[in-house]
Amino acid sequence: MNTYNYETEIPEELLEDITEEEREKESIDRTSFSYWQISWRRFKKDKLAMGGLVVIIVMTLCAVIGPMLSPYDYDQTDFIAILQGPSAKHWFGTDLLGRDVFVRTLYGARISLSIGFVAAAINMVIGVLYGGIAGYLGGWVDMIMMRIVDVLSGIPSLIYLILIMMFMGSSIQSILLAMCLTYWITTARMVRGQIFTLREQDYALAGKVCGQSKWQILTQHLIPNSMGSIIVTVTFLIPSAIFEEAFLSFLGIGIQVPMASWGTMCNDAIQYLTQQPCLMLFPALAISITIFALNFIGDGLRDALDPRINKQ
Amino acid sequence: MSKLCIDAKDLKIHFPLKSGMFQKKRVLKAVDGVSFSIEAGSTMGLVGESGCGKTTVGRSLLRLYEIQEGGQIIFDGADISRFTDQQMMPYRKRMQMIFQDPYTSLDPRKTVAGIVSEPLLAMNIMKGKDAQDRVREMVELVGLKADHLSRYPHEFSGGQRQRIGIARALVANPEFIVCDEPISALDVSIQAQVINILEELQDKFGFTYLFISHDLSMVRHISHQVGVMYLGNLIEYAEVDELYENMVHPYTKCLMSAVPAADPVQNRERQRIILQGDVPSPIDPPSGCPFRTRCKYCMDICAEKKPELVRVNEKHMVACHLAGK
Amino acid sequence: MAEKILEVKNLRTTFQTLAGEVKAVRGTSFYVESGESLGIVGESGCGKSVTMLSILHLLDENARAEADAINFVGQDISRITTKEMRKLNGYKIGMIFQDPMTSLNPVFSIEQQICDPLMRHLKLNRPQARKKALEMLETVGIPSPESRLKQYPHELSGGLRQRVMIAIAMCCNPRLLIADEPTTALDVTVQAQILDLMKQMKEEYDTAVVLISHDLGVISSLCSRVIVMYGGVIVEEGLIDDLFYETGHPYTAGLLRSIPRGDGEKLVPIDGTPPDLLNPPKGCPFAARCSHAMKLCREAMPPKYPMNEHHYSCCWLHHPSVIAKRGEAKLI
Repeated sequence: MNTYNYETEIPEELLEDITEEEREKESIDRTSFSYWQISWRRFKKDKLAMGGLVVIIVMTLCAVIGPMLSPYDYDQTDFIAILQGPSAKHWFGTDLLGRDVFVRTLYGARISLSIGFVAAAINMVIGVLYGGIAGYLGGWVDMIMMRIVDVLSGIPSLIYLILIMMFMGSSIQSILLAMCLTYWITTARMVRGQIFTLREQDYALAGKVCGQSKWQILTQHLIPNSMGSIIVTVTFLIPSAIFEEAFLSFLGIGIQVPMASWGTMCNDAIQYLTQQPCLMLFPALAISITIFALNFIGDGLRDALDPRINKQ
Repeated sequence: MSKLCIDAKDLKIHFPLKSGMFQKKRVLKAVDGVSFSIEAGSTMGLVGESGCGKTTVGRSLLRLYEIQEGGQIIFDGADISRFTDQQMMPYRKRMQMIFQDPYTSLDPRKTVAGIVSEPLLAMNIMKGKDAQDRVREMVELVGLKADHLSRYPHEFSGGQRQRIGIARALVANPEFIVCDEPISALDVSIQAQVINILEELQDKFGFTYLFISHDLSMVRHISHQVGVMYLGNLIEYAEVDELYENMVHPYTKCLMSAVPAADPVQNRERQRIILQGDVPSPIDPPSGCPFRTRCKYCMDICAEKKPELVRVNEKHMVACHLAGK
Repeated sequence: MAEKILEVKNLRTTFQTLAGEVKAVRGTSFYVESGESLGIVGESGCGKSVTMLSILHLLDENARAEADAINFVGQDISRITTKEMRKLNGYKIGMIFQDPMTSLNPVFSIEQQICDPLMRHLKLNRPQARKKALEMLETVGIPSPESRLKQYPHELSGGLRQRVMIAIAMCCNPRLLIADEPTTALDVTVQAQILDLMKQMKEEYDTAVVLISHDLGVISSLCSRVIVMYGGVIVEEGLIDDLFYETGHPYTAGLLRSIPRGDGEKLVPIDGTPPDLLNPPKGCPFAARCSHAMKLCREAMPPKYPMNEHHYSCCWLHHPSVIAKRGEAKLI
């Protein structure tokens, strides 16, 4: 590269005016990224969160495909081999009735993960709608809606969980129903708070100036802009739903035998803790790993989606 | 005299404040009886310090606030001050707004095309291909490129964002535009760009502007008439040259003299009137003249009686007991 | 000649972002003489605030500042630790920021916030510090200082808060006061009060002032010498009158032309937007928006061209070959 200064001669051709194209006054060099693309790039940098995501994906795949490939079934008993430790035949050993613990853990993963995700999804829908409406309409509507929420959250959840289980019988559906009665409250409160701050933003006012209805402002501006926080809250709901299911099943009022759930498996194992600790080890490990992984994902998402640090 | 675009009569906007159970109900008198009118195709500048109610005036003209306390807003012959949201609908497309902060007034999750097409879609003015063409036309009109349409607001600089905001305001072809401090968040070199765009568009399409700003020199540049507000009141109101050359109200004089000139010699030669103290709270405004607590000409009558806006001459009105004496 | 209390040599600051490395300051050198007031003008993102924050070691974690040397009263502060820097900040160097609400701590009373630097740096005891704090509040023109001492920042108006900031910045009698957009958040009438106060404090304490602002009006009412920054570099430097009346750089000229003169003439804006410092241009950063731009401007960064003893401009228009071919450029 030539260097010029005030003493050097400058070649004639460099003294020409630059052309309009060369000016590129309004050009933007950076590649265009949407909010979600930026967040994903930030998320990818978080090693713990990415690790968690890989664990959950692997676990989901195993839960879906694993039992199909295994020679055993979750309720297939083998009275010759009971309370065995891990071996080539039974990777995680066998339980009191000689059932394969590995297959039962995979079935447990099916139940736990599906309960976690379905409960979170349902709660997200209810919570966003309820919180969104309360937050946007405000005034006395908000007042009444939030008092209902206060009353609901005032009742200890265990009471109506047990009541529902007693009336509807222990099944996945009744666990889901019980969870849906209370879990959306967190989401709803969070969404309402978000909407309250966001509706004071200029772009919401601009929506009104542009002739948008309240519903359009809510769905086009307010909810998309609180989606980041909603996703974070919901991600943290998944592990607590999984934990709640395991807890209920452990108490014996959740999933019933012979269906396998991590909670029931732990419950079964507790009597044989001294004889065969592996029986307890694997389902407990599965619960811990899942919950850790989901929490790491949640933390990663919070860092990636947080609007306060979402500046380039 | 040409047609009036907007005519505000004794406009009052009071905001109730949250108060405890046993406390007296308090109100914030953001706008306390303001009257002015803007001719179609002209620009009225509204100046004043923060908290004087100028933004509230602008927003209430667009009926973004309920008008409960009193006053009328007459837009093109129709009294819109008590209209419901439904009744306002046909008027929404005729009046628009440009916001102060180009960073918060554009939805960060929408692309430029999505933002600019908002008024067209929300008010069912155009759809599909027509809307796309109109959006492209507007974006090019404000000096941006068609390939910017799929980008997000955060990728633009402040000046470019403000031009996106202008494109959104103009896309539905309005008649009256409230410019709420459209340049105060922008850099000096960019301010002139935005002002020039506004002026060119006014020449081309005959827009009527209410230009709210605290930048007195820009207001002088762009406006035909200027109103000065203090604590929710319009204290002086005149044609632009008349106001800047023969200001009457003591507050206007202080305000003008406080602006530093971008010229070192002028700055050295000029004698400044430094106004002492702060603006009183609009929750508990002083009795009588709102400016009396900081006015060096304060007389007994100022505390007793609120001065009315009186005519000094054909082009000039002022609310001060000293006027004409 | 006055002593140079601050001398910065070739300061470079970069920020690591997701999009890549943003070169916010690309080699700036300047000095501040004792007792003078230096203005730094430029638009947002030109690196004017980052320059001062780099000198004070107040940058965020994702930033890195390097300089050949930063001499402050005979000490090179470019490589000292943050801990050593803390002994200088608030003592020998006072600071005022744009938003006094965020720079004052909301949970401490005004008294605690003024007394803290007095006790830390000047080693005063509580009653002495309190007495000095009262004096300071009186000097900065705060009415009834006795009762203000017990108040908290949120109880004060914007103008009063900025006065408190000035009191805190000046209480240890610093050699250098750095004010970053001190009046931008204030109304014009309050701005006039604060500028007046800063002028008075500067004279009373014989402190050098660096005033960072985008407002040429503010700069010209307080400063005697001005630096104009654009795209991370200094494009012009000179005494205030030279800069306004003998403008040597098209960007400075453009800034002056985009301010309304009150004569109804059409404004002449600078078209376009500032360069993205993620990929700064190889040549003059202003070339893309400059109406005088030549092919040369895009090729090579213009060196300093001395206009007089204190005034230089970085623009190729002053090159003899350019003048020979195109004649003297008319900037204003």
